[in-house]
Amino acid sequence: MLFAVAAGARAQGEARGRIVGERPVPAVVYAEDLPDETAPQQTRATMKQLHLRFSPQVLPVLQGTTVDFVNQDATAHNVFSPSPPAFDLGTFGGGARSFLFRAPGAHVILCNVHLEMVAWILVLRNPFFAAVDEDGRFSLGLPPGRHRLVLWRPRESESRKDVEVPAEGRTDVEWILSPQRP
Amino acid sequence: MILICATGGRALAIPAFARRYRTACTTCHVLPPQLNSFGLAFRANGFRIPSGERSRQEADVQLGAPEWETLFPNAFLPGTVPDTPPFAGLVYAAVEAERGKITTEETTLVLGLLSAGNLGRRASWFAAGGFGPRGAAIERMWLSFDRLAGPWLNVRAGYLESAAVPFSRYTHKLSYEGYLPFESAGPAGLALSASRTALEIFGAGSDPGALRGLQFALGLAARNAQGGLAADGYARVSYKFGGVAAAGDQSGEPGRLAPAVAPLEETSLRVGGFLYQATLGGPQSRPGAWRAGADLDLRAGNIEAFASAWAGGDRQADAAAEAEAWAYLAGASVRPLPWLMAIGRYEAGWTSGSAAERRLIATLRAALQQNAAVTLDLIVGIPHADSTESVASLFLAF
Repeated sequence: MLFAVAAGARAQGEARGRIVGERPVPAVVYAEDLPDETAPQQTRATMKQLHLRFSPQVLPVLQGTTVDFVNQDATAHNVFSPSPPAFDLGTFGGGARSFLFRAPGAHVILCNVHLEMVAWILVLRNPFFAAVDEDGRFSLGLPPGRHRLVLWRPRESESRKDVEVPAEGRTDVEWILSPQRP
Repeated sequence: MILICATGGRALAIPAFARRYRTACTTCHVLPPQLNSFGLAFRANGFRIPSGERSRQEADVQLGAPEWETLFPNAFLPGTVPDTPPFAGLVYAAVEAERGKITTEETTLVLGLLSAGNLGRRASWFAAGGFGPRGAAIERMWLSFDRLAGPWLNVRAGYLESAAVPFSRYTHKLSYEGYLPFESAGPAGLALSASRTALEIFGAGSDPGALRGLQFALGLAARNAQGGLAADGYARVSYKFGGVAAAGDQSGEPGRLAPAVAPLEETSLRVGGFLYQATLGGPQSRPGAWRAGADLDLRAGNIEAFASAWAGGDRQADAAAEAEAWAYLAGASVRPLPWLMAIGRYEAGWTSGSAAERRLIATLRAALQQNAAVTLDLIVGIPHADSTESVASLFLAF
């Protein structure tokens, strides 16, 4: 499944690509050279707690987005983040708790009931981003021109790549990862 | 002439690691069990890949996400347990025959069991024992708390071979016979390489860094001695010039020192010194001894030359006088083929009041495959060659 956030009428072009190498997912590709925007009020996204895991494990959102944490397990979960600004939504057995993400950056999400559960919410400054699918592919709407893309993966350093997006049609990107440490 | 039908060996290649890292024995061994530079660095890092093994540990069963690290001391530190059973087995068999003043034949058959690994970023363990017709015994067993200040500070405690020993029968065993200077006991009953209960602080340098070749160990040991336990102290320091750093490359650059990089062909020189004081204080009724020595290990591609010598003294229980003692060894090995090694060494030991023991050992080791090897040894007592021992052995690790 592909996630793509287009920037309205400005996203006339497209960068379509594939991440090649070990552990290409979970990952997010975003453009870092476009103007800041804030999500309209009431913009919402969802992160579930299902089968003792957060799902999706990586959720990219635009700054100003409210994320609903929905517990779909039969057991109680906690949701908290040690990343600034730290928050703790408490422990709840069902339903949802929400948090408004204003600060750009990666926010680690943990559950203090099940310590192995971990997820990341990547809060971005503009809407030009896409989550990489399970096959390592992504599709990102972009304005025509030259852009710098960033590949973000949890626990890994970011890597960057410049792309030229045509006024019409798309550009294809093959993103080869450095060899992984064992 | 000796014929051996055997499997396995006291050799301590550890297939538990081969399973865990999905890699061949020769990633860490020249010819098992002798460690290559990468294997030594792996060991110095508490059985971890020096450049990092984050993804490997993420494949383990997570006892808390690694992100909990940032919350300590307000939360439990996370850990891991291996996703594959961290066990390995060895079968070893040997036939030896001695001719000359003494004429004997003897067979040895041992089933060894090993368990080793790390428990995340801070702890590691090692345990080895053996079963044979003569009984069962734990050979070594320790728990280590690692990387308390990077690779420079680690603490291990358990039943172990002292790190003062420069050429360990476990990590540098090239022949059937152990190294005379470190295995012979002397009048005070001190054999440097014998396992003992000990607490040891150790560390090593890594890349990048000016002290990349430095390695040290300080230890306190409780050793069984006449009249009870003897408290021993020991220290060792060494520096390695060239080659892989003592604790490997920890720069984190992917692939810079991956296992696939063969450190076997490096050119390096390690120079070291060690001091062992047996019986620190205590009643005069306990025997005492000391050893002070130096060693060097030169590796140049498929050739290795090594030597060590120590001077010391032994005092038996209630004895007023100390007997002088010394021992040394010098040897070399060559691998004409990656799986074939020829080794020769000369070693001698002496204690005042007794005749010096001198012997020449010639060995041919051949790995039939990665986890099976045969060894032929000829051990000649000199200068008169009045006793010649021949040994053939085979080992299999699984």
